[in-house]
Amino acid sequence: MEPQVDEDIDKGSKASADDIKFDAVVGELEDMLMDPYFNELHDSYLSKHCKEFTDDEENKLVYTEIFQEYVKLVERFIEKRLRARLEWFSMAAFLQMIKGRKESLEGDVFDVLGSLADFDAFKDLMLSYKQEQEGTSIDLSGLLSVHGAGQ
Amino acid sequence: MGLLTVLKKLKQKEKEIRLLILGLDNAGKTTILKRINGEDISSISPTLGFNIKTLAYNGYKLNIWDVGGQKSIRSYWRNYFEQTDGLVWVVDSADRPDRFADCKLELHGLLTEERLSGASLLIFANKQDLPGALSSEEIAELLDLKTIQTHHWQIVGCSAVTGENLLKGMDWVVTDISKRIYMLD
Ligand SMILES: Nc1nc2c(ncn2[C@@H]2O[C@H](COP(=O)(O)OP(=O)(O)O)[C@@H](O)[C@H]2O)c(=O)[nH]1
Ligand SMILES: [Mg+2]
Repeated sequence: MEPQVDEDIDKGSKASADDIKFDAVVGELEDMLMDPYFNELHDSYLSKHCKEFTDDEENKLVYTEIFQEYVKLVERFIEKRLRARLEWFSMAAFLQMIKGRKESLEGDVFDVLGSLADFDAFKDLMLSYKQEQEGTSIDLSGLLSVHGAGQ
Repeated sequence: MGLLTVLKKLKQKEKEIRLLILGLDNAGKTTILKRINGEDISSISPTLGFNIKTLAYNGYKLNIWDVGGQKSIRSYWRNYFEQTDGLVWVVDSADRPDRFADCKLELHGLLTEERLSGASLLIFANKQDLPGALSSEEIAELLDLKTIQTHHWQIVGCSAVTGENLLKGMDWVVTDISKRIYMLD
């Protein structure tokens, strides 16, 4: 066999090993976004802190602390989960890998995860949570009074 | 930087630059921010938290953060250092003489911060429209700018009220940053 050919096979198999790992991580991340456990963690953090937020143009200093803690919380959750499910997973290696393959980051999962690190998007999310929380109680009371009227 | 922040950066479609505006309270930081964003500057109250503006500038998307400068909240400045490409330090050139020592101390303190080590530094010697204002040369002297070796820096005398030289300062900082981080285009 010619050395040239060996090299090509080596390169090919290295690339496809990376592809397999990458795809495995993407699959896990997609599952995670659908997982009620993750969504509950997310929701409970948001509903716990959304009362702090107002739609004033000026932001309070505490928003930044809430936001930075949220990003850390989600990042820790992701790392723990990936390590539990993929024994070879290393966050440092994965970060290195994605920096070298920007073109593979087209999927929705990366849009969603990247948007979680955006402060403006976070503030909007908090405000809509707050509105929803307030809105829910108004809806309920409306419902009750309708029932009351029918009796 | 963790996974989410790395992803956000990798997925950026536009060329983004993050600027952090700091300085003592009452220097004119918020007025400068609103002025360059084309907003009304007649009723600005002291900043207790922070403001963010996103604007398009010479083909870049600028994210500008303006954090309150009162003594009691300066310890929070550190929460805003991450990913800063440019620091804009605003000085009230007509301030009380005793405040310049404080101003110099705070500025030189920031320059030792690891997370600001790569940032370009623009100093706005603001309120040049006031009769008692010191010139930008005098401010440079008072703040001991010539000893700064760690950062690219530039001082520009300006007025947020008349708008004088604001664009000159912004042009310098954006050009300096873009040469560094977007060198390839
Ligand atoms: N004459 C003059 N007043 C200014 C200028 N810039 C800001 N001010 C005034 O200085 C005060 C403090 O401004 P502000 O933007 O709130 O300062 P900050 O605390 O640094 O954000 C306000 O009353 C402004 O109207 C300027 O260039 N010239
Ligand atoms: Mg202000």
